[in-house]
Amino acid sequence: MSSTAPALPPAEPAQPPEAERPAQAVVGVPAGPEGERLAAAVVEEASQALPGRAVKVVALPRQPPGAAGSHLAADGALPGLLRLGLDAGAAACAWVGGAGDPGRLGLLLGPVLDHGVDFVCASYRRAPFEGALTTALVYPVTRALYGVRLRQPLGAELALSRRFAERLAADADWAGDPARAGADLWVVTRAVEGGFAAGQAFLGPYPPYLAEPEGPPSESLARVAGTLFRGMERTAAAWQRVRGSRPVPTFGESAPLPGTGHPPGAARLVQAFELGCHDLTEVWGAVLPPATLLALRRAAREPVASFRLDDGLWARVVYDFALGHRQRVMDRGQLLRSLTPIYLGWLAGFVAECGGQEPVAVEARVERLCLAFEGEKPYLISRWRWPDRFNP
Amino acid sequence: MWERTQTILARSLERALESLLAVLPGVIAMALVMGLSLLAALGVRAGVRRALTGLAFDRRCRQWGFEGLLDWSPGGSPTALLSRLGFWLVLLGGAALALGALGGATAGGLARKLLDWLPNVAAAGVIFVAGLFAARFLERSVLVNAVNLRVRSGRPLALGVRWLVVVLAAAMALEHLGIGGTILSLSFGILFGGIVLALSLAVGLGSREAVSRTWERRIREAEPRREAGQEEEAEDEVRHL
Repeated sequence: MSSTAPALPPAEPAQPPEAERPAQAVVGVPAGPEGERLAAAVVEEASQALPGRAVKVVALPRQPPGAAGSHLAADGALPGLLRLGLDAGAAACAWVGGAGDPGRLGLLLGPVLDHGVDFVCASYRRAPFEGALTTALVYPVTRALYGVRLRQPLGAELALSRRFAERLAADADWAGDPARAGADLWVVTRAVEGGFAAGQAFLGPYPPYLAEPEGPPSESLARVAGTLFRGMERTAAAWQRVRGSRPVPTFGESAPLPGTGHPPGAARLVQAFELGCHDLTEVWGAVLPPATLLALRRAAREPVASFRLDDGLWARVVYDFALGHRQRVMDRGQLLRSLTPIYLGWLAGFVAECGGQEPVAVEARVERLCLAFEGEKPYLISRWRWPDRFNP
Repeated sequence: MWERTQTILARSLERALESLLAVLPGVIAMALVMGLSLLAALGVRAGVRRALTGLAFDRRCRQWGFEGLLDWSPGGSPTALLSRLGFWLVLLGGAALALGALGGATAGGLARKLLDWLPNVAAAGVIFVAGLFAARFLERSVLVNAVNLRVRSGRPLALGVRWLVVVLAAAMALEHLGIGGTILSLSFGILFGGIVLALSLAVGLGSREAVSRTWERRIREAEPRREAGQEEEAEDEVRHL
């Protein structure tokens, strides 16, 4: 199913009829019972956000969010979208998960159509303690690995230039298994590797259609960390060459939303960490070096009021778990779930430090965390290359 | 007289030689089979050792948490244990074949029994090793999930699950070997049922007051929080996704 937005003004007689003109952008939306209504709404959005530009909207089937351990909402739909975009001769392709603010399409497609950006990752304005897994894990790891400061790299919505779409379509991974290749961090890494201009667009508050039901933290962590670690394995050759990080062009209002209500309490998070230290030491011992285990035990003895888990320690723990995931030292699900108490421990320190602070101060704290992950990257590279020899 | 003695001796010698000649091919065949079995066993031992060393089996056993296997292994090396196990299994099979080659009703029957038993031994070994893996997996699953659910008695719970599965696997392996017969099944049933009954009684009767105290304490702890600042609700403000 497809619809086309009203395009260039009728005052220009040289223009061919609307149906014959090639689309400048192809926008994919999820197919389903609401697919037709959604496509019509997005056509309306496009006519307001990109006046005078022909935008084709197509509804494409995709896997449900989170299927097969993935996080990218465009999973399974991206190959079809790119094929349609390339066939239509479009300058840009985009994927959106639902109907939203009309300005959103302009923010998503504008950088590609007007600013020469090849890959736009959608981000959203969120309160400091929303998307804690992205803050604690996904953003710092992606930034340290691939050197691009994409605040929400596992974005559920995105836009690509034709140049980048052609490169993706010609990729050997894509030819082998497009659905799998297009998932996870694959698109981000291909953009970084290929020297394509990556950017991010803040599309406003987190849209309700992307909100997933908040399950147990261990399940969410296992899913997100699994996605991240699988991406690390596939792109090991690429990220080992990257040093430092650079900002990317950012569009839209990026300031986080202020927190509402009472700041979260850290006591129960610390208790979860202490329980993990008491019971899971043996499991952690399969992946963590003795020095790290000792540091975790020391941290567990700290009183709740002054409890903090050092950023460098947290970064090393994440890198060690990534290595354990790669080496399959135990069942991967068990391994990733066993990371939960340490994650909650780091989160306890984070909420204790940032509770009640201004969003700007919270972002400064996140910046320090990212620098710690970048600082520990040589440790990851050493352990990744020589897992048996380099074991401090 | 002397001639008669000579005849008797010659006949006896002839009979002895005939008997020896009748047995000799079997003995030679047995020796040959044993020699070949020994060579095969040595080959299997070397092959298993090389393959497991290539797979870093000892390190993986440590990573997978099979400390028990390490304790039982000669020199703390599961590779050595498995290579020796392979060696003796092949040699035992060779011995059974050699007995069959010797001929004779008793030797042949024994050989058949040994050869019939060998697949059961291998199957029992597989069942037991699979049981050990399953026990370890379930122990870790229970432990990790208990910790993530903030259950304080996760370790004893996980240990209980582990030993239950190990005992179950051992019982199944022994039954497969035909050792114990119905006594083993009966014993296991009584033991398993007894554990479940004991746990039920312990929780239902013995820990009744403890359970009641725990609930009272939880309710008492929750009340002031609701009044003082709704901390529990506030914690929900952390959205992980």
